[in-house]
Amino acid sequence: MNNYKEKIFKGITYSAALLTILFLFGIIISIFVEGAPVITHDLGALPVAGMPDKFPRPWNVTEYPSSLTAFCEVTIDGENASENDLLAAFVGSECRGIGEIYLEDGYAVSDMKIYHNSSSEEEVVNFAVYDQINDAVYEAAFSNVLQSGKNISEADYRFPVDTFVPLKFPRPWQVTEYAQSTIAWLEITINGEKASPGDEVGAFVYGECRGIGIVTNGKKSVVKMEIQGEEPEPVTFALWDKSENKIVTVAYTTYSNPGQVIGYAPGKPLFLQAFSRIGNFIGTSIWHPTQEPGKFGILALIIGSLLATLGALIIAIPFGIGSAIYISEIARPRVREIVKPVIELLAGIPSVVYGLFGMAFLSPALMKWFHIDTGLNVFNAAIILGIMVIPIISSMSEDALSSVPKSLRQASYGLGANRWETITRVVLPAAKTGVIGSILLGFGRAIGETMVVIMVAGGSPQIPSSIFQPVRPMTAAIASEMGETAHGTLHFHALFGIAVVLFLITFITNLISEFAFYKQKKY
Amino acid sequence: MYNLRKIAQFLGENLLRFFIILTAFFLIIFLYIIFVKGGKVITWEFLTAPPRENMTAGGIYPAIVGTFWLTLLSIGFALPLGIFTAIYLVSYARPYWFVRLVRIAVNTLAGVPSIIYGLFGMTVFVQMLKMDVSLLAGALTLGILALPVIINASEEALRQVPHSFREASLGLGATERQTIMRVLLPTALPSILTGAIISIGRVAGETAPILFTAATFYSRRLPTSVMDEVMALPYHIYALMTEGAHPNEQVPIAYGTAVILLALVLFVSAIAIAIRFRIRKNRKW
Repeated sequence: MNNYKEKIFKGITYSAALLTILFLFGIIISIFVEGAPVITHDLGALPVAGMPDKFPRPWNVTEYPSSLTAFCEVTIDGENASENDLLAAFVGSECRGIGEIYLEDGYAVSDMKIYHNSSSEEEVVNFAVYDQINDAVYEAAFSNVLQSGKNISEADYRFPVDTFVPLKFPRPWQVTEYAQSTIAWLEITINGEKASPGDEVGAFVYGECRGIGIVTNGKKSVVKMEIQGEEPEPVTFALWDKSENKIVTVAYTTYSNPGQVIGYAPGKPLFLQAFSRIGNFIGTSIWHPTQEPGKFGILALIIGSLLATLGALIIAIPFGIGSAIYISEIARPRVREIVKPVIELLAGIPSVVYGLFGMAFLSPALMKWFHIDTGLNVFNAAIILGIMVIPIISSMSEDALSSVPKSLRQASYGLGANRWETITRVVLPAAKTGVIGSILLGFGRAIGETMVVIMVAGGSPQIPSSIFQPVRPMTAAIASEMGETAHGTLHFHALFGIAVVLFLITFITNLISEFAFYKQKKY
Repeated sequence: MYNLRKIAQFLGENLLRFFIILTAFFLIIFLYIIFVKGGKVITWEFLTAPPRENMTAGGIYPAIVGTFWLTLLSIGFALPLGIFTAIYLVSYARPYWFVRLVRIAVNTLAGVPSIIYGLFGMTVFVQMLKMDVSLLAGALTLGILALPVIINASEEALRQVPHSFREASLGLGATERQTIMRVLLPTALPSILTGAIISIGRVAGETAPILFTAATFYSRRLPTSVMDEVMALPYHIYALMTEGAHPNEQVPIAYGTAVILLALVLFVSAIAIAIRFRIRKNRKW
C-alpha cells in the first residue's frame, strides 16, 4: 500500500518536471511554427493556374419529370444580349435548360423550361450566357433556388439575368515598357496540368500588358518573365493555350516589386531560397506591414531595440556597478543591510510604472530642456530602461563582489595597497566574470522589456539619425501590432518572426551569462 | 608618488559615492513623482467604484479585482507545479540527462521576454485550447512566467534543509515520500513562501503577457467566471496612457493606478523580504 503511494508521489514530481520542460518547448515551438510562414510562404515559383470555362459548350440538357418556367431578361455587362445568343440554367455542372434569346420591346428576353429533380427539395440554379458573336461563355454572378411547383418568374415579371464578361486580354499582346521591372518566376498550369511548350502567359496591370513569357519544354513548365512597372502594382495574368488558340482566365493575382525578384527559380534549392528570405527579413529595414504587398524588413526594429538597450547599459553599467562596489566594499555593514533589500525591492517595480513616468513626466521635460519636437524617443527609452536595469545589475554584481573572499583583500592590504587599489586591482578582477554576467543579464532584461519601450520609444520603424528620434523596438512592434492584425496573415506571422529573433538574442545572451556565472571562481 | 595614490583613492571612492547617491536620487525622484501625482486622485471612491464617463472619472475597482484574481489563480497554478519540480530536482534527480534538461528549461524560461509568454498564451491557451481572451488564459500564462522564479526559490529552500534532518527521518524508517512531506517541506516552507510572495509581486505588475490573453480596457462589471475578460491594474495604466481621447483626465488616473499597483507590489515584496530576514535570524541550524 505504502509502496503504491511512494510511486504515485514520485510520478507527480517527475510529471511536474516534465511539464516545466514542455512549457519551454511549447513556447519555442509556438513561436517558431507561427513565425516560419514569413520565411516559407510561396517558396518556389509563383503558381499561375489557368481555369477553363466553368460551363463548357456544347450544352446538353438533362431532363427530369418535373419542370418550372423562367422568364428572363438577359444583359451582358449591363447591355442587352444579342439575338440568337443562348441562356442556360445549371444545377452544379448539370445543364437543366436552354432558352434562345430574342428581342421584345427593345429588351433581350428568353423564356425557358428548367428541369427540377424533385427528389431534392431545393436546388440552387446558376445561369450562363453563350455569346455567339464572340464564341464565349459568360456567367451570371447570382443564383436562384428551384422549388417544386414554384416557377421562377412569369411573363409579366421577367427575371433579370445579368452576366459579366470576365477580364479579357485580346491577343496579340503588346508589352508597354517602363524604366524598371520586376523579375517573376511563374509555374504555369492549365486545369491542374502543366502547360504545353509554346503556350504564353501575359502579365497585365490595369488592362495594360506589362510582360510576356513563353512556356518552354521542361519538367515543370516554369516561366521567367519581366514585369514592367516602376511601382508595386497588382498584376493579373492571362494564359494563351496555343493548341486550342484560346485565352484561359486565371484567378491568381500578385503584386509586382520593381527591382526585386518575386518567386524563385526552380533549380535553386529550397533552403537557399529560405536563407535569402531570412536575409531579407532581418537584413532590410523597410517595415510596411499593412501595405499591399507588405514589406517585412525588421532591421530598423532590431537597431531600435539595440540602441535603446545599449543606451540603457551606458547609463546602468557605471551606476549599477559603482553602487555595487560601494555597497560591498565601502559602506558600513549596517548601511549594507538596509540598502541591499531596498535594491531588491526596486528591482521588482512593474515596468509599466516606469513607462508611465517616462511618458507623462520625462517626455515633456525632455521637450522643454532640449527643444525637440517629441520627447518619446531613443534617448528617453534609454534613460528609463537604464534606471530600470540599475537595480538588477547592482544586485547581481554585489553578489559577485561579496563572494570574493576576505583573505584576498587582506593579502592586498598586507602588501601595502590602499582600499582603492585593492578594489580596482584585486576585488574587481576576481569578480570579473560575475560582474560581466550581471551586465549580460541586464542586457537581456532591457532588450526583452516591452511596456517601457512601447510607451516611450516613439514607435516609428526607422533607423534613427539622432538620439532624439523615435524608434520602434522589436517588443514594441509585437505588442502594438498584434492587436491590429488578423490571425494567419503574413503580418501576423512576421510578428512571430520578430519574436523568434528576440528569443534567439535573449537565449544566446542568457547562455553566455550563465557561462560567466559558472566560470566565476568559487572561493 | 604617495600623494598620487592618495588622490586616486580619494577621487575613486568619491566617484563611487557620487554614483550611489545619484542612483538613489533618480529612484527617489521617480517614486516621489509617482506618489505625489498619484496620491492626489486616491479617494475611497477611486478604490471602490468602476470607471465612468469614458474612463475620465470614477475608480479602478474592477482592475483591482482583476489583478487579484489573475495573481491568485496564476500562483495557485504555478506554486504546486514549482514545488513538485523543485522536489524532483532535490530529492529524486534521476536520470542525469533529465535533470540537465529541467535545469536548462528553468534557466531559459527565466530569461524569455515576457511578451513572448504573451504570444505563447495567445496561440496555445486563447486560440488552440479555445479559452478566448479570459481570466483563465491570462492566469495560466502568468503562471508559466512565475514558474522559474518559484522553482529556483523552492529548490534553494529545500537545499538549505540540513542533510542530517533527512538522514534522521530516513533512519527512523520513514519513506522518501514521508520524509519529503513531513520533514523537508515543513522545514523549507517559510523560504518557499518567500519565493512565492516575491513572484506575486512580479506577476501582479506584468503587462505584456496579459495584453492578448486576459486584459480588457473597459468593463463595468466584475468577472463572474474564469472565462471572462478582466481589467488589470498594469494594463489599465498602459491603456489610460495610450488609448482614449481625454489625456488631461486620464493621466492623473493613470498615476493613481500606478500608486495602487506600486503600493501593492512593494508591500508584498517587503513582506517577503521581512519574512526572509526573520528566517535567517531565527534559523537554528
